[in-house]
Amino acid sequence: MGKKADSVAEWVQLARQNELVCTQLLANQQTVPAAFNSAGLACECILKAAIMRKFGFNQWPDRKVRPDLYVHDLLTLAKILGFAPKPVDAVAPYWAVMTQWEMTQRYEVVTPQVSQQICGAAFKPKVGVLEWISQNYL
Amino acid sequence: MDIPELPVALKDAGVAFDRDLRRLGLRCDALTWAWDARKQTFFLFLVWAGFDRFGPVPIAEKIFAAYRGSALPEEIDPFIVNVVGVNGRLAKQVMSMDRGGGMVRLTPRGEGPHVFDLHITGSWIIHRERKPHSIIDVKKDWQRFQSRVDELAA
Repeated sequence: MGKKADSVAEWVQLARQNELVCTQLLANQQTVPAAFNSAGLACECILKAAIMRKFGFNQWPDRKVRPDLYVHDLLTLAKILGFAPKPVDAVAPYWAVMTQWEMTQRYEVVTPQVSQQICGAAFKPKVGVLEWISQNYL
Repeated sequence: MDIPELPVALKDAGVAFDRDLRRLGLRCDALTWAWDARKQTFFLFLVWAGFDRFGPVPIAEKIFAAYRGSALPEEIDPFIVNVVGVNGRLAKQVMSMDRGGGMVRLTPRGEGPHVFDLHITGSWIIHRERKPHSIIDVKKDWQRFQSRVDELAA
């Protein structure tokens, strides 16, 4: 992920950069299947921004102090944040799809259609995971 | 590594989930429980031939809508329902394994931290077709399923 983000704003910036990458990859038929990785990374970054905001960190904690934060697992990060959508929440199906992104990444072949929709689950206005966390935790 | 027994309540709920899905018009190609040793929890895997064509979002939206409309068993949190296509590695394992016994461990592709560590026992398979449904049947099923779920919310 390059240089470690050290503030809420930097994590948000990284999330938005990944959203842009996702958009660019979706624009090219040959790179569409790779786009969903950027959607997952964007969600990871926005969760880390929200964690920084929630705990009032003035810099991203050192690995020795908070090893639990040095993960890429969306479910683990969500648990730390206290983000636990209920099935009735509008974000619920999109969060379910995003948490399966990690499993998809590890186990499955991704078609362009699947990749596009995973991006949609992350960035859909108001109810996508990125927007929901931004609205409710930032 | 200790793999727990599938609780009877989950087994029964899985059978009810399969029955309710059919009642709503969706015939999946396979349905099975899987144990994730990393997260220490059971997941329900729904193998569906329409996944690659229609994608993960519309079916997730409908499964949540059906759950909210009490048309799927309340014992199964829709967050643990994972829909996958018939051409993926997980589906191929499930379609080929012995239902009478034996266990498969699904090894992730590539390097990096393994977020999941999945195990499936043959006896956890709730339902499995001998071959995937044709795309014509899948389309019909999908339209019927969408209509019936939408009616729940109307």
